[in-house]
Amino acid sequence: MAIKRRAEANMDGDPLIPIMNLVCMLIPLLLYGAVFIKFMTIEVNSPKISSGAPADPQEQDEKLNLTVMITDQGFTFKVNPKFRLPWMGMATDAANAGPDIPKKDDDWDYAEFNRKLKELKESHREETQLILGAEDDIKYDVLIKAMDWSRGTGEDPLFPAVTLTRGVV
Amino acid sequence: MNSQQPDNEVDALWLEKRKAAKAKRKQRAIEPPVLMITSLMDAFTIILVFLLKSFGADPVQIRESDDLRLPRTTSSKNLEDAVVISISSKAIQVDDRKVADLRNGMVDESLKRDGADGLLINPLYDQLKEKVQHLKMVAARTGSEFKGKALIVGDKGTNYRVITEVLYTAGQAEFNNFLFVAAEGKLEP
Repeated sequence: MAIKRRAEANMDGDPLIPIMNLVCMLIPLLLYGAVFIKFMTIEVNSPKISSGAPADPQEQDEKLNLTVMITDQGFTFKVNPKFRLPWMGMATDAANAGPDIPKKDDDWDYAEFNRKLKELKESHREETQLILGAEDDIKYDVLIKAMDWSRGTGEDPLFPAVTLTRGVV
Repeated sequence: MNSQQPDNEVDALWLEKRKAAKAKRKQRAIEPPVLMITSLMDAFTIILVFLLKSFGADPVQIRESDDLRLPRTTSSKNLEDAVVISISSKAIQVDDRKVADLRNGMVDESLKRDGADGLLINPLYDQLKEKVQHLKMVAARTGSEFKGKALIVGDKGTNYRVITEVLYTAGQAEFNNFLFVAAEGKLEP
């Protein structure tokens, strides 16, 4: 009699079993599709490859025109010659000339890169544009790190508007 | 003789009681276990809600793998709905559809319009053009605007050359708004 009563009590849970089955199927499915790493984006302008109509020379003359090249040896800076800083080599052949910021401990010196950008930003508060180029075999990871270090913070931005350029100029 | 009979009776009674106890134990053993389903349902519902939330948070689904290890970034810009061009260490894909293989991290010259020095990757261009046509048709029907936005999901070991080739090809196929995708991380000098 007691067994019968207990079995009857168990029957109360029965309507939940199909739902349980459904939930048990949904959990592995969602676990497979779930993303636990948050993905972020960095906006970039298209690479400058073809030469379009030339910009107004007078306007260009007043701009910083900051270009940073990432080579296997380090970072090389190029700016409007009017705003050249003493530590800038500004060699015409960036690929063969020594970098302005050489690699440190076999890695690119991002901290120094950031310091140099801050130095440039101090004299050009309104500038946000940075043209970034790299040698063909420079890895995507290095490019992203360079973009991160050149962006600055929300309150203190450096050069967040990045335009990629093809190869080393 | 008489004194032995009560003993036998006691033994029989004891055996009978033992048998009854054994039968009772056996009956209890085969009784189905009671499953406390309500508390289990509560736990499952919480897990389900959490997973559903994490599943639907991003407009596009990006999955890291051995061939597609994303770099880390400090950017705070969230993902947007756009055409996904992924560059793994083995292939280039457009919205999970493989369009070109990579050999030693480079696009084979036979797949490019102008050979080894060329920038335009033919199969990628064709696929992106198809996407553009579809997106323009959808935009026309819904009264919205074609934005030409593409998400570039690259493996951290991808060569800059391949990145520029992909961006150039996408640019030729009318994409002009690029977002590089990376996993959230910290600045490490």
